[in-house]
Amino acid sequence: MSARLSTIFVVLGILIGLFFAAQFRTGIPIDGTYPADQYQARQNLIKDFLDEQGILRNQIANLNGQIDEQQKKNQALLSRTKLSYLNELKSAAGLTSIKGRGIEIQLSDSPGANRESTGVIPEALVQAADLRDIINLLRTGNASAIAINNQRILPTTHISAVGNSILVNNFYVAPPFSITAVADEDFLYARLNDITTLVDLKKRATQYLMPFTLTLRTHISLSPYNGDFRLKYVIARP
Amino acid sequence: MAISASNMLLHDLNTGRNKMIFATSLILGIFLVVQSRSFIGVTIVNTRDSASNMFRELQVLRDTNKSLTDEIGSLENVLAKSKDSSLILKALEDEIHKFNVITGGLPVYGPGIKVSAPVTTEVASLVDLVNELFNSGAEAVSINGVRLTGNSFGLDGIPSGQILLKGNILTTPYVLMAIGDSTTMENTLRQVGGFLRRYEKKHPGKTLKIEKKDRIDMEKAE
Repeated sequence: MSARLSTIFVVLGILIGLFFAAQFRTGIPIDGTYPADQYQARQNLIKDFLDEQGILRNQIANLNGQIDEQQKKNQALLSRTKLSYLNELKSAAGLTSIKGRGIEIQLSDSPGANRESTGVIPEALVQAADLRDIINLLRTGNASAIAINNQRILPTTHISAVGNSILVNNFYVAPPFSITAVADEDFLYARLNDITTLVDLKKRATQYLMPFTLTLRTHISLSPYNGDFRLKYVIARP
Repeated sequence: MAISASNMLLHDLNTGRNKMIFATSLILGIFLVVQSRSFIGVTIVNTRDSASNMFRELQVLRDTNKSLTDEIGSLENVLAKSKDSSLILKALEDEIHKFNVITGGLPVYGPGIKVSAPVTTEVASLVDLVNELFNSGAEAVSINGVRLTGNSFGLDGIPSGQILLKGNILTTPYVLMAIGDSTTMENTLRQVGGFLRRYEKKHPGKTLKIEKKDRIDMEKAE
């Protein structure tokens, strides 16, 4: 009897040991195994690219403004109907600022979670997928314009993760995230509060104390898009 | 008989050794639950985005800046035409044409890929797939013939398990068409750690059918 019990305890002990080992080895991805000097070089390169990006985006905003001004000056020579139509199209393409009632969603990483840290728990960070899910939900509510940290969301916008960084339209966005939408705010408020929506995000926000708030706004102002448009392969059919 | 069995169990629990076995089994059960939950948690987060790659990060930034520089060249050209009295009208018409294409006001065509996703594909995967197509350079995308333009193309799951897009229930398989560089788009979807691998991992036994097309036609947006 004693031998049998000992065997049972040995087997149980091994099993517990295995579970301990599996638990501690569960794949929390390590993102920063490269040496410190490579990391520093990468940070410097990224900073250079981002500085350049800021300059280029300002230039685009300025040029769009100059074109609008020039077209206004040309009003006498152009069809007013066509000019008005172009302005409508530009507005639909996200090239004009938009104001109106709407909703603001504020979302951030768990307090104390450092995106640059090698040991950070991914679930405690806002993921690109979380932002995609929120944008998708806002679109189901027919939002007329959406932005993340003042970066306008277009139909072609992609929100991707590169490591622990998040890119919107290939532009860096960092927490805290402010997602604003000009829309029917009551409908969207109800949708966002619905327990069947954003289930994973809401669960993680509770578990990791991630700030996640919704605010109805009577006045939201979204800046125009100041990036590029890709039209290399798509051709209008006659 | 049942009373006798429960009495035996109570008697057994009263012995010190059996108490230890019971406590150990309980701890083991707790570890099992914790372990399975931690696996599920990590899977949910990690299966929806590609793994870290610092070279990819730098490449994206470099390509973006090149694209922005090209856009500046294009805008400078529009501005120059708008200042030239002989080209003012042409500049306006070119602009109208360009933004009509962008906003879906005209039917379009071009090379691209067709992706068919099986019935088991859920909203999150479709959202991620559309995102991946635009991320790999798609210039126009449609789902089951509905062109994705404006900001009203949210995908919505309904209780029956079906997916709603712009008020229409989508039939399966879901067929996504994307106009753009077909090789880049296909390679991006198929790359190691890319969308296709993540999809297959998330939906065991299921896959996406990806076909390159020389010409894809899309109607203007409704």
